[in-house]
Amino acid sequence: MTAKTCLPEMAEPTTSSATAWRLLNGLDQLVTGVLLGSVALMVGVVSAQVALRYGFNRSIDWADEVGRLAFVWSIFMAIPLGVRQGSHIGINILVDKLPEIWQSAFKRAAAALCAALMLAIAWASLGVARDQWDELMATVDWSVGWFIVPVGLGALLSALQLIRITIFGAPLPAQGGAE
Amino acid sequence: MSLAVIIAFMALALLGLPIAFAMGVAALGVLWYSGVDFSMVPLRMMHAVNSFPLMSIPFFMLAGELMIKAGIVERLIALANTLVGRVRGGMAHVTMLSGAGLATVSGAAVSDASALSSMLVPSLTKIYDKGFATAIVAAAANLGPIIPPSGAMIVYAFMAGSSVSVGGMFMAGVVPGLIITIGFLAICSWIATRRGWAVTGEPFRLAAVLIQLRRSLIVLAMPVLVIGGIVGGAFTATEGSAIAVVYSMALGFFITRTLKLADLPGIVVRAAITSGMVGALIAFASIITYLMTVDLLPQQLSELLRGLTSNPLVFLALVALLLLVVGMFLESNAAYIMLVPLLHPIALQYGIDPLHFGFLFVLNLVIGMLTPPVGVVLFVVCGVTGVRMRDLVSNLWPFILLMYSVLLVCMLVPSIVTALPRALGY
Repeated sequence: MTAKTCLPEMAEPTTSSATAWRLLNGLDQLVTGVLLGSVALMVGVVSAQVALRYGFNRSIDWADEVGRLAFVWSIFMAIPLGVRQGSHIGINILVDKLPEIWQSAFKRAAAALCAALMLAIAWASLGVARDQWDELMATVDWSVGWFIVPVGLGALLSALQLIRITIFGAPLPAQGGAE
Repeated sequence: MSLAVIIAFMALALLGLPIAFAMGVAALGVLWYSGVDFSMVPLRMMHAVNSFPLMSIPFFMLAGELMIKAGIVERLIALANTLVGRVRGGMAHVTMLSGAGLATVSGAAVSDASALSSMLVPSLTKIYDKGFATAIVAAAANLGPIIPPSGAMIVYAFMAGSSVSVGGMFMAGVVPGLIITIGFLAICSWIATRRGWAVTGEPFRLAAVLIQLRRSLIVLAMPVLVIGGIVGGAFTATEGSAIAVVYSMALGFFITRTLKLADLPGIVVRAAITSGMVGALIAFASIITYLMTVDLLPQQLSELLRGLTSNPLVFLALVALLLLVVGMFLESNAAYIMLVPLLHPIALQYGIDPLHFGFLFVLNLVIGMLTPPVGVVLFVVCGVTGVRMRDLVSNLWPFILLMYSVLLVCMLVPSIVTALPRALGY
């Protein structure tokens, strides 16, 4: 299975915006790849740390920091995919009582508002990452800015997904939760 | 500022914005109105999730998904069937024991509800009406976050800070989890007797039990290894959860051989997206928490409550009442993230044991997952089985009542919750 089949397909519009739609779908596959890599790195680093500690009486001093970096990337890369699938939980009791046309208008307006939020966060992240780029992490010679990059990137990708919802409508909500 | 944020958040959430984004829009709106620089926002969001203990959430989710794909539910059902299949309401008992078994490897009610619904409801509906069949599945799935490991307890421990450890919370859930499981079995027997259902299933045979026990040993060994390792101090909760992932993969690939390499990306992405949902809540809530801290809201709330009562039990009852209402309307992760930083320090000021308060808090919100209108487990079971919500809920009330009774008993007798973790050094 490739990363492509991990996500449900969304109906493609039949308008001239098809190119932008395809570009966004391509970005989703890229994000999915990054997500898979981040989770694999997290599992690998943390379990290797335990194996080395008990098997060879050694430890990896960068395991904690690199593991956390991979975790931050996995969280912020998962947020736009969650937006795409409608996985972020909301309260629809009131909106669902409205006539269908109003429901759609409400959902699109909500998506537009969320897109504005995510664009503001993406912009702020860019400034913070630039300010911190020269600082290095404690255990590896990587910029601490790599911790902020996923916040901005995730916000930007979420904004693109939300703009798609504003224009073409919301996906059906997926079932999920951490409970 | 805090009041404006809370009102804006509630209004936006009621208008249908996803809860995480409603928090973000409300917080950023107030920051913008107050002229505060936005540059603190991405930093706070990143620091909120940049935590080694929090990594155990995706790991336990992933391990649970891998175990289900590895075919453990079928083994657990077969074992439960040989143990309690031949009693009145036998299949209901089998469902409850399977739910309890699944809870020891998965920390999430939603994935348990999905797995148990698809695997057990077709058999259950041959014997019971659809309402009762789905009600026992929903109740069994709700054991997931009570019996360790538990995603809800990890989130609670993270939000509560250093006074609560994940291992301590896990151990706090063991005795009440067993009491609830036994209570559920008793309810099944009571309903089966009242409705006059015939005894079904194979008679009890020790040889059959031993055969199924041998088949399930590899599954039951995982919680012993992982939870035992965490409690025994061999590794942290995060390391234990990573070992659970490796163990589940080895089990699925080499023992049951039902897990294929091609299944992995889908499972990983599903677990990561659910973690991302929790991560988004934590990240956005961190901005609101910051604003509340600037306004000294926790201190103000503490003074208000301590002015109302100095009795810890009354405080616990007030919190339970609050969470009963909150659990009906708010998704539980959002409730942990918004309310734990406010209420946990106040509970400490009342001299309440942090593990006792933490467990009561979690149990309250776990019950909320079974109560309409925002009961996430109800949605999952209805979605998978196609049963009507009112048929499910009308059969579910004895189980909900039992859980509230256990909550009340645990509130009055803290040692039910705290004796085991304290005995183990937490």
